[in-house]
Amino acid sequence: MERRKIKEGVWEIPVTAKEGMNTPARLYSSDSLIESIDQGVMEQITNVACLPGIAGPALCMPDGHWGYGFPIGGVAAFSTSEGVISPGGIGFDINCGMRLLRSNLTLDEVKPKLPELLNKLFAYVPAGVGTKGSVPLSRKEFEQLMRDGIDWCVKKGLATREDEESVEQRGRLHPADPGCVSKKAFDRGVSQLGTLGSGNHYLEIEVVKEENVYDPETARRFGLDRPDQIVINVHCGSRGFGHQVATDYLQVFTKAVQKYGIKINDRELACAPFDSPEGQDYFKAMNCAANNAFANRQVIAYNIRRAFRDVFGKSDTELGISTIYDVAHNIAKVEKYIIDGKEQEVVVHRKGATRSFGPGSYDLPSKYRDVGQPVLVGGSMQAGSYLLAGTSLAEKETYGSTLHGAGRTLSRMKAKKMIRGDNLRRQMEDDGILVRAASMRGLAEEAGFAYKNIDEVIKAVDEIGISRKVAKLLPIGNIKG
Amino acid sequence: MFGSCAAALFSVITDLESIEKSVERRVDLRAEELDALLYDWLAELVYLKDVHRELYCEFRIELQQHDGFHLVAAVGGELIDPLRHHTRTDVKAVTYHRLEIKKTDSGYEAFVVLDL
Repeated sequence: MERRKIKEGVWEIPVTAKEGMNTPARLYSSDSLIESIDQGVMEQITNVACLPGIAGPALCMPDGHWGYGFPIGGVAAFSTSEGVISPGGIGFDINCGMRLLRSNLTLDEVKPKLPELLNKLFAYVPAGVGTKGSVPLSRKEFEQLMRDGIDWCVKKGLATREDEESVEQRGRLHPADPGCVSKKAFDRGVSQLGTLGSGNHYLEIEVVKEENVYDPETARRFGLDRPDQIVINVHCGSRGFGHQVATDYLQVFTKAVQKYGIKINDRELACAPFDSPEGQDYFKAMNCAANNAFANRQVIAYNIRRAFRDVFGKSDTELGISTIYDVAHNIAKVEKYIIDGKEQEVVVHRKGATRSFGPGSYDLPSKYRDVGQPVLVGGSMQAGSYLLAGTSLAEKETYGSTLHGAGRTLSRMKAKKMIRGDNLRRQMEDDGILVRAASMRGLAEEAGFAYKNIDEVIKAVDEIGISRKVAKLLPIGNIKG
Repeated sequence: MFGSCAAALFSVITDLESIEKSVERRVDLRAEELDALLYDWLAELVYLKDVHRELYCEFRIELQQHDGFHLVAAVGGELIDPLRHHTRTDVKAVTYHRLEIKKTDSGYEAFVVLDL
């Protein structure tokens, strides 16, 4: 498919590349990464550009790879009056995202107790297939949680107000209406609060080495203030609840495309006008699932604090475990951007893409207002993660969005064929990373070599300027679902 | 084909041979198209697995075509036991991504992508 470089790090596929495209598509990448981009990504992002009411170019971030409907790493903005909303642009795991916690502890303090700590975390944070959460919910409580997200956790004593202000949109998206959620979604979600799940979801103990801090001032503002500091990273989402909401509405939207006469190139792009009963019902149900995911990561954070208190025999104040940030990377949000010279209200779809608001933007906690939003990027279990900061350029060019991870290059099946889970575990332990996994076979699917080189992907977004490097976080202990 | 797809789904999660039959669930579904029925059938199994925390190994299915398609099934399996069921990964959703049902000389062939 035809593409041309329009500036350093950005390639454009013109509207003439495929019949029905309403806007061009743009690939954010680097000279080396663009060569390995698969054809599926180009097909999928140009399919997105064909959807009605798309307000500007359909974008794909440097970690982009083949998904269902949208590519993973896909970002698109649709007019709230003329455009659509599509579950295929959000993902089955609604508000899959990251939570990063800082601590006062250092590597020397944690290393001797790491096995004990991991065992405790593995006991407090249920992981794997068929696990049950530790917070029993009545129907009424679950509905309240769907509406109020982190605010519900604060009222239940599971979160602090400080946690709440360090979450994207304070962990409470609206409008959220439990009346738009099916009984099936309710049934799947009600017993899973505080569980990690499986697949690529994890809880990681990480260290911030001095040489891996690229912007010491911003790092300090984000709470990284001592050498060899220990941080805790959580990657998970809305569990069965979000998956059921997506499954339910995929069926609703399959009928809606016929009702509204919308032409789609892929059944996973089933959608409805945002301003239609079907579109609004999904948006309200999606927000319920997103609030559930924020609460899920919060309950996990609550249990992480418990585990640290138990193992180190210190108080919360002494441990200083606080939320640096919590951000979604599978979500649709109503936001305003200047597109074609005029301000437009759009529903931004981020599918495997993270919000990246720059300094001075609304919805930033006052403590970060002048440095920009923390952007949390999860790498593979072996390569580590990154803490970035959002930029004004992202708000100008990419509807306030950036990448979300390293991006897969090998399928789970291929990864599993290349290494056994127990061998990978030994290899990681030799490299100083302890692992507790609910499934050894599942572990092999997440081997580092199954992903793109995260350093290269981060370098690309930093150079393009849609987020900037603050620090790299190296894993020392991993709990995998 | 519906039984084979169901068995394939649970084979992704664990070894089918490790699942015993001690509970039975009933499924009753209707759809206008065969592929939509296959999607609904597999999505229903994912739902039952999560809600009851069970794995299934036996699928007795009756399929009728009359004004669309009607599937009635008895699904046999048991509660997930982490000591006996060595799970590989979970199946979280069924997708329409490249979903295809083909008629072949020996029956039907289906291609389904699952979200893990």
